[in-house]
Amino acid sequence: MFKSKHLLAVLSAAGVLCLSAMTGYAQHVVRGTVTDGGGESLIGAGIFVVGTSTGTTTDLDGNYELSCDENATLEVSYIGMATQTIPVAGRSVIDVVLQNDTDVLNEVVVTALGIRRAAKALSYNVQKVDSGDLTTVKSTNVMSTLAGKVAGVNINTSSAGVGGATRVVMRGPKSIEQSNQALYVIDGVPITNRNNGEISGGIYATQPGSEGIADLNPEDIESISVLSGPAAAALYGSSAAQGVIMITTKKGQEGKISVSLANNTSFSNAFVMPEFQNTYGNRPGETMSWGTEGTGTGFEPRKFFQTGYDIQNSVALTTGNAKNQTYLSLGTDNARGIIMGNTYDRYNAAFRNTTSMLDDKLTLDVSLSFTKEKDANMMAQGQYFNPLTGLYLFPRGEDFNAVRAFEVYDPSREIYVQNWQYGNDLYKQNPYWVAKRMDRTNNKHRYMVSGSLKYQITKWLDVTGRVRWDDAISQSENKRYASTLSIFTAGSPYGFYAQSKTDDQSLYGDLMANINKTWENFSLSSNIGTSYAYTHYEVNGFQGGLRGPSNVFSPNAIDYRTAHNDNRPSYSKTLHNTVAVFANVELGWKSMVYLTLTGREDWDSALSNTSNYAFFYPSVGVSGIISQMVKLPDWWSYLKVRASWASVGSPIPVNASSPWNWSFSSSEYDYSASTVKYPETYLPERTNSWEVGIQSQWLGGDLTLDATWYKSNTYNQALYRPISASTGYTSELYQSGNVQNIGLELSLGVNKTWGGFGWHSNFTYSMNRNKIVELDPSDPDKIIAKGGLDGIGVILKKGGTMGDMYDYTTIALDNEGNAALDSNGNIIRQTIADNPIYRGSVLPKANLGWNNEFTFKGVNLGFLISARLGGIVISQTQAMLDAYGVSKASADMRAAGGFPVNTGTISAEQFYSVVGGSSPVWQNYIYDATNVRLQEAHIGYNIPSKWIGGKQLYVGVTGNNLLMLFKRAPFDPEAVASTGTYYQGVDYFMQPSLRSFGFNVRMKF
Amino acid sequence: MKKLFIYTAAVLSALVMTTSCAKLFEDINRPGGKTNDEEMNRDGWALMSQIQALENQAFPEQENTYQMNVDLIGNYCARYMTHTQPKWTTNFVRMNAPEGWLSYPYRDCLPKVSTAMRELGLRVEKDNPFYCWAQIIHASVMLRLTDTYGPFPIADDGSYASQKEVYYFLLDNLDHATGILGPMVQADPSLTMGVPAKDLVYAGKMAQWVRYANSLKLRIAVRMRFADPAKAQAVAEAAVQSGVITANEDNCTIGFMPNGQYKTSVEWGDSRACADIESYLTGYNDPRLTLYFKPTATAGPRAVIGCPASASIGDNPTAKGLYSAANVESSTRGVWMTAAEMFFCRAEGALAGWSMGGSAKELYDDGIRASFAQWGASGADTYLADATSLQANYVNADGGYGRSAYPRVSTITIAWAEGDSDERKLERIITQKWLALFPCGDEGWNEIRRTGYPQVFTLSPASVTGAQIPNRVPFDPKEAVNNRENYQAAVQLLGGADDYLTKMWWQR
Repeated sequence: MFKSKHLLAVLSAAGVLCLSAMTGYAQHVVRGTVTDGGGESLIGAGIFVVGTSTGTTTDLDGNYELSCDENATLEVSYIGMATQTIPVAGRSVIDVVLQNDTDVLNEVVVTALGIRRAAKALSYNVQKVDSGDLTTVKSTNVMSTLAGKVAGVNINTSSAGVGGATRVVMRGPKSIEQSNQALYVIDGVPITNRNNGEISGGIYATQPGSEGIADLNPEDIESISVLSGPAAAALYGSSAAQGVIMITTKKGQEGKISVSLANNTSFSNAFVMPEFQNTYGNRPGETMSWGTEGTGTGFEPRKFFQTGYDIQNSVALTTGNAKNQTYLSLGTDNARGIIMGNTYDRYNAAFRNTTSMLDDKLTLDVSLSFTKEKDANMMAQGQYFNPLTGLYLFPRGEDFNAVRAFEVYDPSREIYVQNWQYGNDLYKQNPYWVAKRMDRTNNKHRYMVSGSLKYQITKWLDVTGRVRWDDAISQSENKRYASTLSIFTAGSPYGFYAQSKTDDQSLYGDLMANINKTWENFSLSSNIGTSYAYTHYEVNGFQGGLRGPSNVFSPNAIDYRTAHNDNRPSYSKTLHNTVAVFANVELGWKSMVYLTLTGREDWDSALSNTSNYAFFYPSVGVSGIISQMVKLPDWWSYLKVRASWASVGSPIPVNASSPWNWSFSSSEYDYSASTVKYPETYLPERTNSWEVGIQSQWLGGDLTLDATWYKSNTYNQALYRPISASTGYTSELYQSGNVQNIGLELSLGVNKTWGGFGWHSNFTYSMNRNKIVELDPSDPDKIIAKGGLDGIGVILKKGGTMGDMYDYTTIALDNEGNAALDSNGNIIRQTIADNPIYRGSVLPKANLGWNNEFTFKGVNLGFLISARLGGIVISQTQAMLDAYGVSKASADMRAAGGFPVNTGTISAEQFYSVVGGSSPVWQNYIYDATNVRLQEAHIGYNIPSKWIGGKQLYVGVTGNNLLMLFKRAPFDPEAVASTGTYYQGVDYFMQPSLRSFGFNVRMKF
Repeated sequence: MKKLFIYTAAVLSALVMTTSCAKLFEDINRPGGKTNDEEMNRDGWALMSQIQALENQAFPEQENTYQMNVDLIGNYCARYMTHTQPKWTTNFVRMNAPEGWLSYPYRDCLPKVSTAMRELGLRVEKDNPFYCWAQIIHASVMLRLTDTYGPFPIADDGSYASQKEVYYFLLDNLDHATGILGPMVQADPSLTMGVPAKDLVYAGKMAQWVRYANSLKLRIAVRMRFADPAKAQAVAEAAVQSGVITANEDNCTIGFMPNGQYKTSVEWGDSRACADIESYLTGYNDPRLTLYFKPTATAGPRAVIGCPASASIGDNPTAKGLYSAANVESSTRGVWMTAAEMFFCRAEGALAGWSMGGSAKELYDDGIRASFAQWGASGADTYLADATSLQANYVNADGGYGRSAYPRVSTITIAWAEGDSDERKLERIITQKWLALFPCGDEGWNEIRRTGYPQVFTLSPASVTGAQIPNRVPFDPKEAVNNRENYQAAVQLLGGADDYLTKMWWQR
């Protein structure tokens, strides 16, 4: 049943207000002090006379005083403490010692749609991360902080630098074509998380951006609940298949004004860099470094990087009385990356007010938040807009100092022009020029307004309505100065300019009736409701080469009269809405067995023009508290078993079925018909999943173990099957497929205190086995090739996984099995088009995290070790460094005299000209992705409040990505270039991930 | 309470929507910036869009389409141009091109072409003049594609047809088109169709399109004359009878801005003159040398210098300075078929004993004169009388890339000599045809593969196969994965390995 401590607090607070209206009613005065087990007085504890509306709260010293009948009974409550019921029995002084409430039986968790439910009734896994785990070692994107702390979730941070997006995939990738990113929910309401971290991949991809969820101020987050399975999220409908990250934000607390201040400052540098050589220079007139030994100038690419920083400040204020609580916060985040020009600045303001009216029958909760975010020059990988190509491949016989003056004044043009004489292959330019004179900025203003109104009709029935409006307007600018390579300036010698404005709006509203009723041994908790969601995404802009004079950056300066692909407006608009009705019924018996049923029907605009635009998804779950049913040994404190099944669906891609399918092609300057062949009828993509789990506690909660086994199958996937180009289409959308994920989530905890020494530890283990059970029933040999690089790529086929990497390249062999040589005496790279070799899957076999927190007399120390086991990654960077003769490997081979073949040796230069480069022999550049790292560590001290007049002050030092304990790849295998489903495990001049050190100070008064 | 009322109203209206507002859903599901069939049919736009889409593939000038379909393949293999990029050590000339290059014409071009034909087929009958017009342009693209790969799909089921079948199919289509358009043009010689501004080739003038269709038949006939002599002669004679291009104003050129070669050679600097064409033009004192190519930026031994094919480039800016770019501007019309080519085709036909409306000598001379006129070069008579000039010995620029010198490989002179052997006459015709075909690299490469002329310099470094000129481009490697059975059947039709050396059906 619904036995929330919070509810009690509200009720007790309500009593206080009534008290003032009843002055003079006093018969007997009781006073006393409320303290915790450690003797500290509790401020704001509620004291409530049972059976009346009388009550009060403790003052700053924990004292209270109230009037009541001599035979009355008091109920004393405090959040986080077990509530006590004390008969007055004529006493006039009653001191109360409240104990920490470790009773999980009454734990309440926030579930889908913000519905609060008893933890024991849940039939699926919910993992909760508290504010402390998110704010100690901070990142510009709060989601990065979650990595390694929950089971069943893979979180990878984009290699884009500060502000980068994250890839959050729960329980394995399920959808072949649609997003596998988790759904984000703030205070029960889903938000649109526009993730700009996905790039199309490969050499010419544009650089990525940030994501919507990064706009949050981590200090505003009370807790995050991770619903990793579809059953947990079934009430969210279409987006639920990928799991949900539920964020609960802070609200005002009853009591005196309390202000907290926090500062987190960290400094960062490159974590893992490739291994270079600097002893062999280049031959004169060449840009590759194949010169003689000793001609190197000792160039070290690492020196190009600057020290990054991230400074986050926040101030939060909370105040309130029993009727009205207010939370107000301001936050700033100013960061710069290790590549000059990469910055991220965010300013947050949040306000939340909760008011109760009409004898507390009506509760209004209003929140406003505003975010101003500015980011610049994120850079993940590839050839375009990447300073690392010019940097890493810089000829080792030349003086890098010569390019530090990256621009020189051209008196004839009266402008500064780029200084670079080292070749433009791979679109290399002066790295400083790329960083500073190809300036990409994004300026976002976002506000969210939400309100919720709850009306308690009877004790067991309330009606709640909620609405949220979220509006983000971004202005992007792209300035490329004159003398940038002409391919980037639409051929203009005067520079290039692009600007666009993005409106990203969403409206969500729902209305729910919530029923909570108990009869004898039975309890019923039910929610019935309807919801409406609407999103509007529109981009308007201009772009093109400039018509002169140089470096005038405005839409008026664009040279529209020169015919060029890039001289054009940019425009796109996508709308989407969903209307749903849903119901959730939870039946309990004797607080030990629970049955939960949910159902939701969605009407989705993406399915318009199809035969059926509504679809239904049900879920069913049971949970049983074994420890209440049978007598377990004393040390076995708690055992719950649970099982659930859910079927959730998602519609076909938005706009796929629209008859407006002639798109404008700027290169051909006309509309062209869609080259995708669409079917006559559509089905929703459906994920059916099972999960069973146990939750147990031993030794009174000192040891905890949560285990979940799950199996999900995703059917009717909308797949793009490449079809022979002769049909007039490049691909056909068909619905088939069955992707299965089977896995295990384990989480083992220790919570133990020995006197003043405490140890909290949480070990998580996640294992997932992804398998394509069916791709196309009409063709068991069906194969779908997904992107990759030249000569290597992901191939999907029946029986494989969604990350299977196949290699199309090998070294040609002669009849005797030795490496065959061509007429120049060199080995030969051979393409094996029709029988590519399986090299492994980019998906991990397992992920482990071990998070520890030790406390002793105000000192706390924590560390997080995370590991990924299995999977492969590939590095084109290494292949390029080898071909250009700048890698340590190329120097080692030169020192060894070359590469042995049966007729003698071939030089390292010859060898790497075939094996390395842009079309390498891939078997040399595939690595095991297994890695173990010290991901986070911190140590801090809570300065005793007595020393500083009752205030709270915490100081600490922190570190992130401190130490790589084990790895095989020449780069950080956890960094991802793209946050999409594919193009994972691929390094193409990826920006190194960041290692950071910092400190934090928190203060409360 | 007011808010509650608003929510209730919002939700109620949402519920109303669910039951009755499929129309609203459709509006919401409409993407901005796109159009639908109804809108596209206005002003006959949908039909003209298909004509334009076909033209963009048949006569590709859009920079990427041009580079991937023409510059990297035809222009380089024809030894008209060569690349200046250090990273392009894998390419068609070395016969080790990366996958993306192999697949591009198939994967990018074919679907656009097939889509255009499909969209036309949905709107008009096969005998509609628009469809016939499209068939002419379609035949141009398909000819280029089959000549790139060999067997090629003509049905819409993913299966490949043999190259002979493709040729016959294209000839049938052209006959169908001229069978309907020909009489219309005879009735009204000034007949204009569609939106003239959208036809960047002939501005909708159907008389010129019919003439082009006949010329295309002649091109096809000459190409297949070694493989299928009887059919070739019949087609060629009928085409000449119907009227092929004889005047430069009827040349097939496209006014697409910006010119593709301008992008790749001038703006990007990826392509420079090749040593082979430069040595022929230089040796012949050919006035077209400086009309085809710009002087080098870095002063060298000659005003125009070509770079040896296959040379390993050390540095792109250096290479761009040492060698000559194509002499084109952004607004230069792309050239895809000329009167000169038709005269040379007829000269070759006459040499084979076909009825071509003139002797081999007359038509050979007309070809050179037409080319000179096309380029605004003077001195054709002197040139035609030159019986001594030979291809020049090639000398590389100082500090240039690749071999520093090549002795000439050809002994062919310019002036017609009736007493020469037929083989030497063929070499003379094709050498001049090859010079006149510039910048249409696909056709230049076709001539070298088909006849072995002109003779070319030996590659250094050598190609992976050791051969000098690839006979074809391997199929899109992804076909072996995505379209496995048809791919295997196509290799059977090819009659050899799916590599660069297996010959085209029409090769000698």
